[in-house]
Amino acid sequence: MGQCQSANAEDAQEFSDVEKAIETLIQNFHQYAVEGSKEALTSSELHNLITQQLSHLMPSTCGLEEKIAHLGGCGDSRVEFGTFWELIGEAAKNVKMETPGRGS
Amino acid sequence: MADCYTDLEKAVVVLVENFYKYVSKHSLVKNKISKSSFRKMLKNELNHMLTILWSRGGPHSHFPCQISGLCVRSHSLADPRFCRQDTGNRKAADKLIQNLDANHDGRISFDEYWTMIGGIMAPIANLIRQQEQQCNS
Repeated sequence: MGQCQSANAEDAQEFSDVEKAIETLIQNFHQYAVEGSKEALTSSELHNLITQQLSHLMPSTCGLEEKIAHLGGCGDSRVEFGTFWELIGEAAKNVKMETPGRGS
Repeated sequence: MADCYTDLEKAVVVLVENFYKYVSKHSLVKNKISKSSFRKMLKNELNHMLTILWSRGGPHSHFPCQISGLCVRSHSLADPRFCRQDTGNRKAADKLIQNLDANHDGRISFDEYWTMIGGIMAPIANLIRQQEQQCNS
C-alpha cells in the first residue's frame, strides 16, 4: 500500500550508483539547456557542454564540430535529449575500448 | 586515467561499467547480458527509478508510451496492482526485456542497454521538469 506516493526525497538517498549517474547526466543537460525550453540544447549549448564536461571522453580531435553540424543542419536547430544521449553513447564506446580487460 | 574526469564523464563510466558487470560470463555470448542477469540488474541498480516511473506512469503521464523501444502500455501502468512494488516491477521488467530484445536472441547488447538507459532518463528528466514547474507556479 502507498507505494505510489513514495517516490520522493527519502527514496533519492537510497539511489544506486547507476541511478546517481543518471541524475548527474540529467542535471548536466538541464544546466546547459538555458535558452528557450529546457527539453533541448541549442548547438552552441551542446558545444559548450561537450567541450567543458566531456573533453576527455569526446576530445575535439574526433570531429566534434562536424558531428554537431550534422545534428543540427541550420543555426537555430535544437538537440533533444535522445540525440544528446546518442552522442554520449559514442563517447561511451570509447570507454569500452579503453577498458578491454575488465575483471582480468 | 579517470582521475581527471568530470562528474559527467564519471557518470558515463559508471553506466558503461555497469553493463560489463552484468555481461554474460559464458564465452558463446560475448558482450551481452542474459535475461536473468538483466532482470537482476534492473532490481539491483535501477529499482528506485523504475519504481518511481512505473508507479507514476498513469495515462496522464508522459511516461512511457512515447519512448520508442520501451513501449509499455500506459493503461497497464495505471492499474493499481502495478503500484505493489514486487509483482508490479517484475511484470513491468519482463515487458521491458521483451521490448528491448528486438532480435529475440534472449540477450541484451550494449546498444540495447544504452537505449534502455536513455529511455529511463528521458521520462525522469521530464518528471524533474514537471516538479520544477509545479514548484515555480
